[in-house]
Amino acid sequence: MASNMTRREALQRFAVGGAGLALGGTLLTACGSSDGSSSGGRGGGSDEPIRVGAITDLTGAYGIVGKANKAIAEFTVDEINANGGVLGRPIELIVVDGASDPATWGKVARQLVTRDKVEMVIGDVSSAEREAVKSIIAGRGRTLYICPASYEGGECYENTWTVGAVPNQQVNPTVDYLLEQGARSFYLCGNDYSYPRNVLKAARARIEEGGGEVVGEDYIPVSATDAPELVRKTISSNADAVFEVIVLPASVPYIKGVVDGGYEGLIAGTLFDETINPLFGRQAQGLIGAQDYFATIDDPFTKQEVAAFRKKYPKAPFGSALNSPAWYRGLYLWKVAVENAGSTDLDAVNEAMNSASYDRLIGGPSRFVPGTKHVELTMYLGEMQADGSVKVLKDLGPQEPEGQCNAS
Amino acid sequence: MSPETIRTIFDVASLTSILVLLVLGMAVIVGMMQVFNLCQGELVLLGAVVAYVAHEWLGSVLLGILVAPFAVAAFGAVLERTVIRRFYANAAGALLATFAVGFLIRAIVLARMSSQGEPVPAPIDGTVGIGGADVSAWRLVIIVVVVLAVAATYLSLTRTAIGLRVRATLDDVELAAASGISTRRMFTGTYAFGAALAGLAGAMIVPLQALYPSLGFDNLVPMFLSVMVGGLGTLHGPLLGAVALGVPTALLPTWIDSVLSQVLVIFAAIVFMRLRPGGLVNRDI
Amino acid sequence: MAILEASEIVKRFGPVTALSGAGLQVEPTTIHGLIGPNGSGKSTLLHVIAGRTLPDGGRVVLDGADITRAKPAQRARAGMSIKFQLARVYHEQTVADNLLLALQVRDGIPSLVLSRTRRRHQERVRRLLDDFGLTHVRDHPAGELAHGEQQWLEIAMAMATEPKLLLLDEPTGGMNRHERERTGELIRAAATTCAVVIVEHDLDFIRDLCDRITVLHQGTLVASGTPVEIERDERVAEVYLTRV
Repeated sequence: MASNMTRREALQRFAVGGAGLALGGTLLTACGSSDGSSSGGRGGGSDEPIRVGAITDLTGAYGIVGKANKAIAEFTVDEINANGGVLGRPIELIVVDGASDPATWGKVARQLVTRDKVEMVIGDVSSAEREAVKSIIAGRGRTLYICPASYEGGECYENTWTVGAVPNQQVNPTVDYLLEQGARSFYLCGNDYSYPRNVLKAARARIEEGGGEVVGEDYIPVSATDAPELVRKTISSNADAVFEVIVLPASVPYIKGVVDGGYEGLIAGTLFDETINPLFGRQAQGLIGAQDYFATIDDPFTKQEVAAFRKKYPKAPFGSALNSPAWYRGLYLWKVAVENAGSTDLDAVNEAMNSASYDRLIGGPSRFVPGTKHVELTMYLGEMQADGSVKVLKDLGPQEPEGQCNAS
Repeated sequence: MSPETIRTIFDVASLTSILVLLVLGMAVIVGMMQVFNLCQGELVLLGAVVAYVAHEWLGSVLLGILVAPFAVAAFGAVLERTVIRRFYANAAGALLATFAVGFLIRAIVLARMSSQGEPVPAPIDGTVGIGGADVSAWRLVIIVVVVLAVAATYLSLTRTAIGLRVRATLDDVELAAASGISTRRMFTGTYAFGAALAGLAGAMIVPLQALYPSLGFDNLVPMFLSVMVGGLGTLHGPLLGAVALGVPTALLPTWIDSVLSQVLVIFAAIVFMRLRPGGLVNRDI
Repeated sequence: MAILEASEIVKRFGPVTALSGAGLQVEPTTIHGLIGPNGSGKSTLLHVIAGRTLPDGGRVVLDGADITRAKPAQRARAGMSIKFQLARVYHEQTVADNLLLALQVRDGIPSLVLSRTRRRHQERVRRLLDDFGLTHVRDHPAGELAHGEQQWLEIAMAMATEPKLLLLDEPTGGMNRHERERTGELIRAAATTCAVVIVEHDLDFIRDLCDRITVLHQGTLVASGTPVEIERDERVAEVYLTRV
């Protein structure tokens, strides 16, 4: 819908009005077409801007994620530009709206690569959206594609690089902690799609490796808005610990139901952070999870950056569950790779990405593990508090992605 | 009875009552008025918004729940006068127009939000012990409110003079107009009444989840399915449809996989609609 | 003074002129027949009086008030009751509720909300059911009644509001002889309190029942008078003869 919008201010106005109305789309197509002529070719002069496309969901079901993504992308690009840009050239950021709809993602991605001729595209929210655009961007478009979403793993497409967490990075330290706390029997549950299934597969493997036993594993439909049967099954399982991957909105009645229903074991998952905890109310107390960032981690650089972000975008959402640190990380690791390559030439940047590494990142140092197309992340184990904040239990240090892209 | 059994029965009652509550307003607008109102979910959302705003500004969710039906009814009345009215004779137009209205409401709510959801606490928190099982106090309140709301709606439509006029208008508009009933006002009032019930539903269920833009939209499929299974033209048809859908949806996962049970329920509903296109309650047969 | 006066009524449907200056004058508590061959404009004139269609010219005055462009609901409130050609009752409501609805027409919204009207109208509903021989079906949905009973219910509803003028569009359509006789009795009883206008094909029924008859042909007035006068009128005979 926002397909032809390349001017940022127009996009901002549009996001408030709401994309998706066919009428609005047509209207904007008509007025957006005039600025197609301003696009230059690849390369260009030394102070010619480098065009970077950011694709996310500013409207529709994932609209809040998109708001967060857009804010951190603008913040990061402004910061890079203020410090001399990339190879001395400023970045021109073009944000497009996929409207939480894979078909729209395909349309706006095509415009980023063919009309706007961007050098790189960053952004994914759901795997369905990533699948819809990767061949358009990174295949035929031959454009570098950076995926910041934390997801189920396994994305090894050409020219495509993942900077979000894969299951083992969150699951292993969390399960290890539960085992350390003496948990032996585990109940697993989640929504029925690839991310929860892969996370719980990783959890089951780690549990059984560590001598624990899985006493039940259940899934509810993706569309579920309530989960009373999972609450019952969790309570009657009498497991020492629960590992759950239930997405909003059903996670709220699930957590409240389990806690209020008198379940006494530990509750862990991959989807807890400061942006989601408040929804659980006081029942958030004691939930366990590992993330690449919590607001309470003790890292001076992270604190300084997040404070600067908050000052500039006081109303924008920011958090690990919204992939905010990953967007920041993705843009900087790309900057490092381009500068190491000395140009934006695709092959050269791909080679440099393979071993790109950077320390001054939100959440801590990160690097691509050569041959995996995925990143090693500094992870933190947190205990959620009744007020929604997170008590950091442990700085887990660097966690490698496991089993990605035929790493030897 | 074991606490497990009590908890199961309670869950069935809770889930079914929530679906009945969501369908109640739709039973009036879609069932009785036969307007294919795709923004029904957003009328529910607006009820939730009222509860949230009352919580944020006045510190009282309860006040929000009391105000929500009136606020959403007022919105519904304006919507009927400006948009819905134009599409009584044009079902496809009504679908498109109400979808657009729903989309706009969702987009506006999204634009005003800065988190994945806004928590709204239940006016009554905690649990109540029933025969050794701890059940959610707020869900118990919802069950009671649903019974009262259904009874009040039924009685006001069947036992009051206004209800009789509403039924007469929906039965035969031309005759109603010829006999001095101001049918425009009846349509506005009936739509507003259906909107009020949707608003009540939204305000009651938002403490169970959280305020988020697709709060109502996410429930639109089971809501419409209830109406189709129950049959058009009456109030009680869609409500029976909601019970017919809600009970197995809540009960089957006790024994079989939740995902499979959802597929089975929807499949059974589709087969039922093939065999009996008029629905459970159909006076034309 | 006439209770109803429709004068110089012009009504065109596209290129077709249905009424060109036809009129009708009805005296209080009389039964007035409106007849004419097919296409004479009698139904259109009735519709203009009833407000189902608005005229292109002319005036309709009910008891001194100009109602030419009034909405149906306003006409009802001004004292006009209509019984349509096809029985128009609320099919899904009971016979008693149909009558109650008709009785509540003049009630204000506040008294409707307070529901006092049901009790107040109870006695009148009972009497109407009795007068029109519908007591045994009072709790049946009106849609389930026999054809004749539906017609009587509709006349009962039309009479419920104690109108000044009752318009009947082919009240005996599809009825057997016995039902027709019964309908005639009911209309005669009604005419003790109000004026009645009947559009009817059955000329014998009209001749026996009406005090006055108006004949239309090709959208204009041919004759108006007592049944005897009409029977003797040559122009009327011509109209009905040339038709064959």
